[in-house]
Amino acid sequence: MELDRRHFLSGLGMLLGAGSLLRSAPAYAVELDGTLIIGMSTESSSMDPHWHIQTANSSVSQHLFDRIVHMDASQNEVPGLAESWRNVDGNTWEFTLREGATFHNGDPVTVEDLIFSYARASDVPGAIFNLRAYLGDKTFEKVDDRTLRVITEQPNPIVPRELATTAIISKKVGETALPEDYNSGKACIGSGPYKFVEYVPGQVIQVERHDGYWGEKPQWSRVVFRPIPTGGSRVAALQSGDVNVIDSVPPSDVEHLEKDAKLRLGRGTANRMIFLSFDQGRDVSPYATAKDGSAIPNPFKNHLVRDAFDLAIDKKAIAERILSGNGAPAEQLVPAGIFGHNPEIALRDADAAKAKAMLEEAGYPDGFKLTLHGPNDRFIRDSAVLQAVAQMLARIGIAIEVDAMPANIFYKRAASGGEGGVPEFSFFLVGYGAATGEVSGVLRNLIHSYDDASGFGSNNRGRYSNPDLDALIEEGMATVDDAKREEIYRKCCAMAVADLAVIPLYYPISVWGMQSDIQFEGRSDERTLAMDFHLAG
Amino acid sequence: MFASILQRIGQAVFVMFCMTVVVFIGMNLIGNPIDLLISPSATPAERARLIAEFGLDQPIWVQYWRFLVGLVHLDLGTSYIFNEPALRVIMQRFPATIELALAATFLSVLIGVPLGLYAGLRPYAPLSRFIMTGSILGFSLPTFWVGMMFILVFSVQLGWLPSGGRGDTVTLLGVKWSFLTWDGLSHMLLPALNLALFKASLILRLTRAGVAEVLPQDYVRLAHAKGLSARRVVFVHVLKNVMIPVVTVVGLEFGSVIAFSVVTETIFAWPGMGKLIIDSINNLDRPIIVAYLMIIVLLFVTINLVVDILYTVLDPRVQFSKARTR
Repeated sequence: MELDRRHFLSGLGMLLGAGSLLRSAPAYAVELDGTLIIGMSTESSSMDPHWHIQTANSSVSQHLFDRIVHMDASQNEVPGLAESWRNVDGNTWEFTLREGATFHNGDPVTVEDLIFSYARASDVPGAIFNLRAYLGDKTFEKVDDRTLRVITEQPNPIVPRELATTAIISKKVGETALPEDYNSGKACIGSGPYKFVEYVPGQVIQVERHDGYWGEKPQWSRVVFRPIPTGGSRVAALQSGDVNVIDSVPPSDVEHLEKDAKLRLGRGTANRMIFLSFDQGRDVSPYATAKDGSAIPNPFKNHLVRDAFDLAIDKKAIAERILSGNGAPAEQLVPAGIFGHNPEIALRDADAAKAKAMLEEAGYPDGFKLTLHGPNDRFIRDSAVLQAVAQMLARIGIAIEVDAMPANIFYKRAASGGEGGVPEFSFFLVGYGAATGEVSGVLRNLIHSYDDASGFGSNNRGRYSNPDLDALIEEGMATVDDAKREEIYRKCCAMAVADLAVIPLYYPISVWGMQSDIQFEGRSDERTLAMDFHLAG
Repeated sequence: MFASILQRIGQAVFVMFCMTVVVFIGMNLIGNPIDLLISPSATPAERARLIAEFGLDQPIWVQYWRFLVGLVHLDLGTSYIFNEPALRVIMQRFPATIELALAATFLSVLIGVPLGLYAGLRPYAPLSRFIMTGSILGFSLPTFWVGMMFILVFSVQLGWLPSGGRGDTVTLLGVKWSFLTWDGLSHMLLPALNLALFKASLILRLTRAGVAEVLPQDYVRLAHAKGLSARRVVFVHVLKNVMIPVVTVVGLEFGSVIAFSVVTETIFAWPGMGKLIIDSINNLDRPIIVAYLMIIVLLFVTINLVVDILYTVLDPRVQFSKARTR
């Protein structure tokens, strides 16, 4: 036979030799006015800034499009396209447009562009995660060339924050643009610090610096976003120098990246609360039964039971051990630094013995049977968190079972899976975060009683209801004076926590990884913005 | 042959039809994209408005009828996530997947057939034993783990190859390809090898088994006796007969690489269709799921057809008209 071992091996050797010639480009080092490459865990689903307002989309669109008001790293209002704004009376706000702001095509930004943008943003066909929640109650008027008047139906103190959600597009371009023109870049004309270069779905987004930008010029002349969905691959891309920055460092990699001298981590506590919600609406809750499975009156209507649960769950242990530092234990509805946070509310220490005694006092000396529901692909290590909570509750005598399911099934059942289209679960894990960056979103949508007509309590799946608290929340929502409103909201937070409307569990901590010559302070809105990254030294 | 092709197309249409019905009923049971994607600040009225806008408040058969009407107009619907026609979203990612699948298949044949041939011809040589043991690893190591190891070794430690993504592309016939640039090729090597590993082991074992079966047969001995060169005996008489099962497997595996290369695509951030379908299922993006599965059905039918035609080339005794009764 001619095909012998020698021939075969030499052939193999040649193949391998050829393979080792393939060398990738050298690792990119960052330099001033150079390119910044960002590895993103989630891909932006569209370049249309008024399409789904999810974190990944908002991150990218903020490079290209300005807002009338911007949010700084801890979600405080700072001037955007408007240089100033004032509250004329409860229902009226006036914004003064800055001079010198231009779109990427050279046109100046006008009041007409603002009005057009708000009209379009509330009417994009097919946009599910849309901006109507923030724009619905407002009418917009042009006062003069530089003044926009916003009139709301009810007194609304957070108009600037609500308008900070909406990207400003050019009326001239936007009027004739088709949905696909945004992805091709034809209609991607904003006034932001970067200009559109290229968008290849799932592959890459490239933007370059807009030299006529009115604000502070970013340090990078070009920014490349690459979606890298797998955590391990994202970390590997950072370590190999293929990208300069990554978002969402997986909990398991935090420790060894911290030790890597060539890398650095940046953290920001997200304005998002992951919490446990009780069914407090129905008289009999389907997943809370006696230990033999027979129906019992809904135990969660009893404050003592809710209190015992809160005391039994060791939030610190969950944050430290399960989330490995990617979460901070939550004692209230929003983390410190967010408007409405009440510094007087302290984190309770878990006490299983006391919790068991309280459960006994409430009339459940032997506990009861319960199913804990939650998603298994939505939050960091969500199944593990569910298991940990279950174990902690088992310690006080609850016969608990965990039912974790994919988010696509979970959310439908959590919203309307029960009899008659009501929320299905008795005790479940969910999260809430509001783009407005203050506490009123949580209070209004999560804590306020569910009310179809007014739309309050739309996310109150546990149907918690306290009329006194409702009145206080509504009072806060109509109070324009910041100091007074903060006072009211702090009181609301204290009441909601004391009443155990929900059990706040943790605030996710977003962790970014970057090369050690890059500096970044972290953000509370989970967005990754090239403008926030600076060359060290 | 023409009638047979027509029959295949008929089959494909029928399978597609059944599949759309199953997807519609299945998706309806799981949930709706509104509850999943809606803004946490939206009011119940807004939720109801959206459900009506998408027609999700209609009975399932009305929704299905609307889908069929759209289909007649060559409209598979607009993606709930990407705000683009479903077909376009898929077609944007199709070249990347096809390219990767072709590269992986090519590599697996390139590795599998010579190694299998060698192991079959010299079953007791130490190298053959080594190859066979190695192929067990190829079978049993999980793709996910191997992919991560590739990245760790070749990108992070050695720095030879990029860790993921698609690299530079060149537009040819209106489609972006990366196999035409050096940078694109270097991006493709690791994911293609990762995908090829399992298939190469499979092909290797099939080839070896085939060779072991064919070698003792009379016609091979006759060929030797006739004084044909060893090269001709092995590469014409033996290999051609071994190829029939291999071609079948390569064809089927090619289809499954295209349809289900999600693990590799995700690890290497390869912008193909595999990741798209998983994301779409997670987001309940029904137009994409339906369009994707229809394309996959069409693809499998086409591949089977090509495989059948290849049989007749490899073995003149196989007739196409008989092949369809298999």
